[in-house]
Amino acid sequence: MMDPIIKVEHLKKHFGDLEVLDDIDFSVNKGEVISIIGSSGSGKSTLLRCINLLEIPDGGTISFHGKNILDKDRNLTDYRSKVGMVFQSFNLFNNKNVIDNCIIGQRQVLKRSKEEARKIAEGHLQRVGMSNFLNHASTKLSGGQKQRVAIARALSMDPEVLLFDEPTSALDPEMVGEVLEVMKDLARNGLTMVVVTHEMQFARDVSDRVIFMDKGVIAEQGTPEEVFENPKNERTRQFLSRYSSAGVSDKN
Amino acid sequence: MKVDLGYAWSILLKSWPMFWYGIKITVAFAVVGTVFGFLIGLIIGAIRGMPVDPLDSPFKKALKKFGQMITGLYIWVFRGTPMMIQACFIYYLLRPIIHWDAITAGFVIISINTGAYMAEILRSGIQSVDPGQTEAAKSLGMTNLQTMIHVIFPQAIKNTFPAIGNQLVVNLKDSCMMNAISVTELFFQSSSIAGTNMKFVEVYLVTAILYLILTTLATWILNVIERRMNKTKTVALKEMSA
Repeated sequence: MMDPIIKVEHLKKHFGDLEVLDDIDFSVNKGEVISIIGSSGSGKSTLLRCINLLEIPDGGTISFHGKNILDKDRNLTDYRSKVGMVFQSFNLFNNKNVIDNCIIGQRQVLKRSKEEARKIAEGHLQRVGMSNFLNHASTKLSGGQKQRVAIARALSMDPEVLLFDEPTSALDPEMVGEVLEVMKDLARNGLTMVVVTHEMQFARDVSDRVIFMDKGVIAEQGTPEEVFENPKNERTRQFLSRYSSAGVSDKN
Repeated sequence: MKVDLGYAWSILLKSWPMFWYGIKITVAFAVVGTVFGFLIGLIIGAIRGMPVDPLDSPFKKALKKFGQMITGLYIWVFRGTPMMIQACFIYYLLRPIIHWDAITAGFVIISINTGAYMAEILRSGIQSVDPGQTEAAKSLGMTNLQTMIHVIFPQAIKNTFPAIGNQLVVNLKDSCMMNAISVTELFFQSSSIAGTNMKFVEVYLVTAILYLILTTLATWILNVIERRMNKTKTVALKEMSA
């Protein structure tokens, strides 16, 4: 077995007295699609934000290709450029148009030439179906369009891993599909992805591994079949039954 | 008590070269003060508006804290004392050392003074930018400085443009305080004209009208710029509500 790209060990995080993450262990292997599910407040978004160091863990280690990124001598900008992030609220740069959103990181961080950065950005925008919007103001797009541009922006950095923090939760229902389609396409093409999501259908169909988080710990993990068909943990069963009664698993 | 409007008109024509000279100096002070004040404000505002990053080394944290203290002191002093006093104090304090003339001193002082106000305006502008913007820049690997220059500043400046522009109007008027160190701006010139002709009411009426014309023109120009800047925004809002 290959060494994992990211290996999280004994990760701890608390906000004040609240223990948000308690001794989390998990790893991300190349080409894997991992879905993290769980109810709100279970710590899944915090875990994702810790991996990209948008939140600073209180304890434990996060290793990237065997090197602990919490060490003092780490190269943070280099690490972040290799581990991309897609946010729930898109966070496109409001002062830039669509193509410039996808160029700025390449120019500033990867020091690519203008022409090269533009070519790469155009390629990814085409992939997410936004090539007709290159010069549109990012503030003028619909939610689904914004999120697809945000994905193209992250892809333009050629990340080794892409983290998705509830990428469809802020979208109107009719726009969820277009974003999930893009993500499915990325998964099929072998991109390593960690997706925090409430889209059970997506987690079930696309993931190689599903992690169920509950109260700051990983309560259960396994293949989608194991977690969805045969959950061992009582809390997982309770959580999933809420979704199946909402008709999600009926579709299968 | 009577104001002789005919005399006011004739003195405007007669002393126009002096008035015109004063207008040029006043406008120069307002423009230079606003532009350099803006640049100072950007630097200071960035120091004050930059959030403390928990990933910073203890040295960097201490440095940031020191920067906050120094800039806080600067803003406190320069917003808390009259510019006229600042002008007199700094001009005469440094004159024996650097032998500057009053105009140079005036340019420096109005810039520093405006910088203190601009810093507060821009700090609030920086803090009004959605934290998600900074997070997105960080997630791409951009440094704090790159994030400030390419993402935060452009939005902060746009958000606070009316307040920034207002400083130009304020400076058109407040540059008159530079008469205290004998800068030949519009008010200084008017006082000279009034003194030589012994006609105070008429001359100061002319002066007031000249200031009013300057500030009105400046306000009009700023409004045009602001409308241009907001054009894209308004279109976006219209489309959303449609």
